[in-house]
Amino acid sequence: MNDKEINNGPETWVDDHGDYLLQYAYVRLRNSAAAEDAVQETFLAGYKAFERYNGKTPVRYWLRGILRHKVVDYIRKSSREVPIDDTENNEILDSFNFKALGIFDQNPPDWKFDPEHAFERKEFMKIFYECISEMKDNLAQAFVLREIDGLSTDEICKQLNLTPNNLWVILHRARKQLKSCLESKWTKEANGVF
Amino acid sequence: MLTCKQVSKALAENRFDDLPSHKRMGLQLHLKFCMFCGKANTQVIQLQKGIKKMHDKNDDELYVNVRLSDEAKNNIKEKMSINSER
Repeated sequence: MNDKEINNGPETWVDDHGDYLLQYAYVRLRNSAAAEDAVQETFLAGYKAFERYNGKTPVRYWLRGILRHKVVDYIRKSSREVPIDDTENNEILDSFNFKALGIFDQNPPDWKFDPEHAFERKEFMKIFYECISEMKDNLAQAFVLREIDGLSTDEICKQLNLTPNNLWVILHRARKQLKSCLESKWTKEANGVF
Repeated sequence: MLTCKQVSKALAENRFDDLPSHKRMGLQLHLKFCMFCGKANTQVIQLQKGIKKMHDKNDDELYVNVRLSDEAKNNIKEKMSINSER
């Protein structure tokens, strides 16, 4: 975002911030039509509320704040329509192995690269989002709400209509899947580049 | 000292950076001495730290190949202008 775009008036919002907001919504909703609707509602709501905008944050992030609520509302509504099947989740929960005294009985393989440093690379970020897009909807939504948006367990359970145990299992699966996807794609990319 | 199960649960319920400092210290201590749990949970923390780093940069780069079509943009602009006339 360049300086010119930071706080332009509403007439330039769609051109300045439309694609950015669409990407934000798409990563969370995984549905182009729903993401476009959410972005449109955001611009209209932002336009109505513009008098209350105090200019303390760039307008892009102010609009993103409005969009975040729209996205969460949409997820909440759509999650209500999906019944929860606990059987499979309970099986996975049982597979978390803890020995007596609550000691972990697993020795997970190391990362094949340093994830903290990889996140500084643009190419890695593309792969990160690609891997998220390959996850099932419920895994991706829970992961994004938790690890990118920082929502608490309570909030996510409420939005996605889950129990804390469901969420634990879903996040465990999402991280596992993400790790394997990142390792496979990033290793390939890194081998090609270096 | 915390058990592995307590550590896993704490990380399942909160992001590492969102935990109060005394809990973070307890977790770090556990992770330092517990090889298995250390590995499993350190991996979660590494991923969270990487994502936080990306987030803190407030990066506006578009990593996902989705764009508003011209038609969608014009549609939104039109709706905004109708609202402004009311």
